[in-house]
Amino acid sequence: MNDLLNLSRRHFLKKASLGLGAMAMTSFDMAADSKGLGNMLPHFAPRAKRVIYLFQAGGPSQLEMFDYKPELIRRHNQQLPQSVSKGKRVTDFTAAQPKPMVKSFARFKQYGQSGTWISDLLPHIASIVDVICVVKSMHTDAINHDPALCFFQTGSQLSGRPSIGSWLSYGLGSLNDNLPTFSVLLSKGSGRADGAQPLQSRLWGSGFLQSLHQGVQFRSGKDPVLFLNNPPGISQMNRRGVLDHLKALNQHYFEKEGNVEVYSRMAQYEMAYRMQTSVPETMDLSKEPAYIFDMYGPDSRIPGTYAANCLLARRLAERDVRFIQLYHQGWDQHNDLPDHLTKQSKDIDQASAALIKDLKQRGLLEDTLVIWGGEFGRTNYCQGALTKDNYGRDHHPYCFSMWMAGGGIKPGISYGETDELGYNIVKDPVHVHDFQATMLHLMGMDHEKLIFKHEGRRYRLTDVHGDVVKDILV
Amino acid sequence: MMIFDAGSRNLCTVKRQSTNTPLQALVLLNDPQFLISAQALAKRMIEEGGKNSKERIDYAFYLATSRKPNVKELNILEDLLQAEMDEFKKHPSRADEFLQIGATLDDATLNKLELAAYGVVANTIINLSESIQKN
Repeated sequence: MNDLLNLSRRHFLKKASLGLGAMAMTSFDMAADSKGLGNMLPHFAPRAKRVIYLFQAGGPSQLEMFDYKPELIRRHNQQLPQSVSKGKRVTDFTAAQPKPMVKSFARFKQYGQSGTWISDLLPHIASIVDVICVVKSMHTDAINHDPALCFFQTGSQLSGRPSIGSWLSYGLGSLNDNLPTFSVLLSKGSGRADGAQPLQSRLWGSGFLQSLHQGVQFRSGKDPVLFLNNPPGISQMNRRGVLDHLKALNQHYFEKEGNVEVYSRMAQYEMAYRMQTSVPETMDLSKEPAYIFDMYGPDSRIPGTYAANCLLARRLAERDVRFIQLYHQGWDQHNDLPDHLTKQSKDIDQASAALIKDLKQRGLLEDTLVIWGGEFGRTNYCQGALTKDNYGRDHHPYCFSMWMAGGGIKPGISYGETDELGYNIVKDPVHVHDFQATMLHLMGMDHEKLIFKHEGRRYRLTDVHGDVVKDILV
Repeated sequence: MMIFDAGSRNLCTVKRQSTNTPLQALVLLNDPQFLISAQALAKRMIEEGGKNSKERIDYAFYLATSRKPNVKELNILEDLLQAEMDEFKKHPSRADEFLQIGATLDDATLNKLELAAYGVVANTIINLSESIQKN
């Protein structure tokens, strides 16, 4: 059955002798594809049923948020030693300029029973340290935004491969046929007045997997999905009749031509029909009590903000949407870091913590994996002019921080360490592929076994790399 | 157009992504632009397509897909047309509401019920996978 789902025209021509009629095309069950690869997966008992990935696009600065480096205070304004950078690849922005190291303007303290270090930019996240796991030893191969984003989302710096949500949709299918399995929400940060790094919709694309696995982006603002309502004069029953006839016509065409994409289109039309009722219900916040909005912060009442999206993410999780991805743009503080980073942090601090608390009190945190992080970190040296009150930091792939919670992640720990200057990792490195392998593991899948054969080669999310980070798992 | 992967025009794009989402279905089914197109197509079906439903459906199908429908496809569309005619006969005010979208096409010589019914059939033909997707 699985092979039939992935037929291509080439396959058809090869098997032409069998005759179209002989193949069990007419017995296709459209619902079958929503169940992913069906009986084969998951490979073992999952710890998480859903993922909420709070992606911070632009590269938040770990040195002002999670990775406390007192040595940088002592060595403020000294040149980065050659012995440390050792000819490592840097961006064109700072390759030619001197590299004075700069201390964090934000102050750090330890919090909770775990004694986790968090800066004063994140007071709300500081209050949940005993629930989260902070990984300080993330590292990536990519040095600029688009390749780095692509790397995190697809496992390769070159575009064309399926994104994480698409792999999960393909592997595990949907838990709720009325909402898109892979939902995407974007928000613009207040940190960069001159505009943030753009995001490409291929970051939630399905690559070479069937297009029904791609992410569906909800618009920020009043109408998250356009054209939900039937035109005037067309009743829902009438519309159902039209869709049934359309289905019959497309099915007939599918049987003649064997183009699997027709099948995807049919599935999307059915999803559109179901979304007409499910989306307004999901997006309707009118019944949420006031204390919920207070918990997420004042932004949560404004559609399209990060806080509002976090609240929506909780609602989507309640409705068993498998992969919910938020993108908060506006990080990437090459300049004016103290001012802009403060604003960015304020955008996300309260709502991120509120989401964790909210999921926890509803009993959803134990099988929902929440991830917070960007595509790379920032340099310990200053980009541009270093003044008494102002500085910037360039891209830094060699170490950065992320945090995770729920769904099988060990709470209240910090994992991995960077050197005293915050440039290299000295303990327990976690590569992007390791992170992806770990995420798939928590969803009950062996990352080496979730594969798709395309153009003669077997592909997987983790490419040919990645090890599950067992030490951060419960 | 963003829903159909148009380039964002501030970045160089070598090749547009090919996507397939429920959002696209909603645009093609419910966006006034496409509804007006469907009603304009319906007008052509009635005025240029021929004298009977078979000829008219043939015509619209050919315009949308560059081929004539086979017997099975024709039957499905004629069935839909009949269902729509019945629906609008029972609720004539709905025909008026539906045709409001294409008010600029207003032509007093056309039968409103007929135009509305053909409008829905035309919308369906536009929404065929074969009409939308180049293979």
